[in-house]
Amino acid sequence: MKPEVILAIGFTVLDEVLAMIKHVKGQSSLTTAQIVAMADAQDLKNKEDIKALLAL
Amino acid sequence: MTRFQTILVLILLALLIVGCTTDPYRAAIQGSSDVSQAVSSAIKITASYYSAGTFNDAQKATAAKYFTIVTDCNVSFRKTVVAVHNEGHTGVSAFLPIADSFVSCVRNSAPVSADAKVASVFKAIDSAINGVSLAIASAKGGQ
Repeated sequence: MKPEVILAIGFTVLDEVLAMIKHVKGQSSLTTAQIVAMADAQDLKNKEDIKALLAL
Repeated sequence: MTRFQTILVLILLALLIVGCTTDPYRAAIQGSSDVSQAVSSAIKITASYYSAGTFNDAQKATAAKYFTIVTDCNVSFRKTVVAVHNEGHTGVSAFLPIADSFVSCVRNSAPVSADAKVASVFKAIDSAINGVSLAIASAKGGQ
């Protein structure tokens, strides 16, 4: 695998690690109802993203 | 790339443990939200792998099927948790069986992959799912 490809994947994974940290930290300031709404919206987005993944 | 995913799993577990929440209901909802976020990350990583040629069409399809099942089971889990909460239940014992059902829902329907590359993408999501029960059991304010 080319170094630039490894680097690109590495950055994607790093981005997602940071997104996970931001997600968990961000929840502390939300009410439970707000977290439910956020998770509902994320699941809808995930469904769309799965469709997009399959279309690649 | 499995090193990066191991880091992702460790961070997720550490944050779940550090972030022990105040009550079982909130722990269950936060756990569900963490699973949604883990699926979102795994989709992006899978797309990155596919674009780089690390995943082929079959591996991508297996991963997509897994993401769909986890998302459906997670939506169902969260709806049940909210319904049980609205019925007035507050204790750990009210929410732990729902978390167990979530784990069973995924295990009974999700594709099993012997492919190490595909399995590594599933790892972070599996940790998040297993972390839901842990978070509920560790929650305060319920019996």
